[in-house]
Formats: sequence, structure tokens, C-alpha cells
Amino acid sequence: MNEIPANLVDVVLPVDEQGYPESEMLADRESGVLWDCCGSASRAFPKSLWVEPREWEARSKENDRNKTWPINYIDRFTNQVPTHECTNHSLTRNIEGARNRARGIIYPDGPKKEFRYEQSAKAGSVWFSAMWPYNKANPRIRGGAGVRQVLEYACTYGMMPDKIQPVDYKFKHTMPGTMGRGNKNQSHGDWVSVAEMPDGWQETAKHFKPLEVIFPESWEQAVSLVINGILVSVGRDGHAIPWARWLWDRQMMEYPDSYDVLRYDSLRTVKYAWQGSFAIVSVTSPDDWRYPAGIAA
Amino acid sequence: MKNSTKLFVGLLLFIAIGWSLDKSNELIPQTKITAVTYVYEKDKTEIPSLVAVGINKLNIEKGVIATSIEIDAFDGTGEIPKQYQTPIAAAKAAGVPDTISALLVATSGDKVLQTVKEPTTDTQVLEVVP
Repeated sequence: MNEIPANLVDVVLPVDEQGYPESEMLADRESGVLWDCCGSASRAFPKSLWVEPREWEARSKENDRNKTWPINYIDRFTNQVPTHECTNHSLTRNIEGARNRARGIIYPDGPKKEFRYEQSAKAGSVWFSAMWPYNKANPRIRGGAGVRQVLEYACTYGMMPDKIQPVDYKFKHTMPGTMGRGNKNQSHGDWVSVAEMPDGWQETAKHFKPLEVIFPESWEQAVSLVINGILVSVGRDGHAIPWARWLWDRQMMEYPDSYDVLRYDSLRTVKYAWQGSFAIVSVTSPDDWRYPAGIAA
Repeated sequence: MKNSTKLFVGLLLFIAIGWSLDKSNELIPQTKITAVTYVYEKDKTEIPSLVAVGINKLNIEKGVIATSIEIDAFDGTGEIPKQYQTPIAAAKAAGVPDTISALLVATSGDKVLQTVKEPTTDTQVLEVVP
């Protein structure tokens, strides 16, 4: 069992780097708030996805063997330094993972820093900008955004493709991936306000909408979703991230943090951080995976 | 019948059978599976881990488009995506989600070639593509 460095566990960012304000977090945890924001996409947690805790070890070992954790449907890291875009980085991982899970491609090592899988291009993986819908949720740029806002806008309008893609899909409308550092698989650029977004952007964004979103009602439900290969986006201690693998032998959640790195939440953190979380189970699908937004859309 | 005659007749028969087998292969068109879709209702089932393995292997090793789609799949315009109209129709006809939780559908264009009810293993998935 490899040791996980303590500095990667229960990481709390410096206050000036936190992009999930406590006021927003508390509001998002109010009963029914996230459900209401997703409209017709909201779904109750189904019995079919419940995994009895006594089965967690066996199912986790199966996922380890088969590489069918949510992390295995993530093909890139993002890097938000030094912005407050975290809720959107978490959202984009969640929707990218749901989409890749449907596409049926397993990325055996999950995201790797400065690495691009050949399969991303062959399978029609799409990378989304974290600048939208952050720019609508917080036009002031600094200060972060709430989960309910960005989720509502994602369900209403869809997501915008990043300027960098695994292959040129001939998208009519794209946006910089982040105002932050970015990386090999994420473009970066100046702030683009909603008013400055390319004309007709909605015609591209509508092809990338969450169709079904589940809101765990307990930490055990959150673990069940992860065991079933579904990312769970959570916010805690001023930062939003997507849980992507349950380490059964360490009782920890692993997540791809928007700093080009894997980090971990201990069981103590998991037991409170699940509140106000969401999991995108299905996303709009294209007529042809080679043309994710249709022909020249 | 002389032995040489028997041998000659036997040889003729052998050639005739071989020719007809060869011809019979030409008469049965070999339809190539182009897509395999695991159509499921998430309220009834998860995507089994081994099914996901099989789906991945079909993509990587067999060159078919293999995917896992919820029965209520839509595209960005609110319509059933063209590539899923046939498998979703087949799944509904087979009873998804009312009587069964999932159906694996192998298609060639808009023609259904084979289905597997509620697969749980990678072997069941891989077997649909010879």
C-alpha cells in the first residue's frame, strides 16, 4: 500500500484562493435548493445505485481490477491558479466524466499531468470551459460562485467547449478554458464576460447539457454513486472538487483537484462534505460522436 | 464398381461439396456490426463494472462504436440522437424499463442484429461481435 503524503489529505486552500464562499455553501445545503435549480433534470437517488456498506470493499476491489471508477472516465487535469473558478472546474470534470462514461472509454490511469490520451481524440471526448458559466454566476470575476448558480446555468444553457480539444471538432463557438494557468489540455485567456461571448454561443452550448442530476442525501449515498462510476461534486472549506475514487482500504475519497494534482478527503471530511453535493448521471448525446455539437455547430 | 471408379466418384463428390460450401458462404451476406449499445434505465440498474469493461474492449479492440446510454437519451435539440433511435426502440420493445432493466443491442446501421438481455459480464458483451 503506497503511502499518501499528508500534505495531500484534507487540503484547505489559503483564504485568498478559495472560490466557494461559505455563504454560498450554506445556501446550497438548504433542503431542496439544488433540486430546484436543476428543474426537469433533478432526480431522486435511485435504489439501483445504493451499495450496502458491507459490499463497499468487494465492489471497490472490482473497480480497482476493472478500472471502472469515476476517475477512469476523466482524461485530463485542469489548473485554475490563481482564480476562484473551482465550482466550475468541479462541474466540468463532472459533466466530462458523465459524457465519457456514456461513450464507454476507460482511461486506465485517470488524468495525468501534461499528458494527453490518444483515445480522447478517437472517442470524441470534449473538454469544457470553466469560464462559463462562472462568468454569469459571478460577473465580478473574483470571489467565486455558488454550486446552485453554475448548475442551474449548465442545466438551462449547457456547457461551452474549451478552445483546446483533443481533436478539432470544428466547433463554431468556444471559450478560453480558464483565466488561470491552464495546461496542455486546457486553454487559458483573458476574462470573457457573458456580453462578450461569441454570438450564437447557445447553439453550441445546448449540445452539452446535464440530463439527469442526483443529489445524495447521505455520505453513504455519495460513496455508492462513486462506487458506481459516477462523480460526486462537493464543496467544503471554501473549495469545490469532484470525488472520483473511494479508497476502501484508507477510507478516503480521491479527487482530481483543479491544480494538476490528485488529492484526498479523509472519512471525517467525507462525512460532512457530502451535503450540497451533486452527481451528473447522464448528459445529452450527439447524433454522431465524431461531431459532438453536430456538423459545424 | 471398380475401386478406381469409386475413387473418382468420391473425388467428384468431394469437389462438389467443397464448391457448394464455398458458394453457400457467398450466398449468406456477412453483415458487419458497426455499433453496440448498452441501453439501460438507471432507476433499475447501474452499468455493471464488467459490462463497462466489455464496452471499452469493443471500442479499443474491435473498432465498433460501443456506448452505454440511458433509455431517456436526448440530444441538444431534445430529440433522440439518430445513432440511438434503433437501439432505444429495440430496448423499449424488449421491455426496458418496465420488465427488464437493460438490453445490449448490436446493430449494423439501423438494423438490429443481436440483443442480450441484462448482461452482467464482459464476455456477454464481447460475444456479440465475433
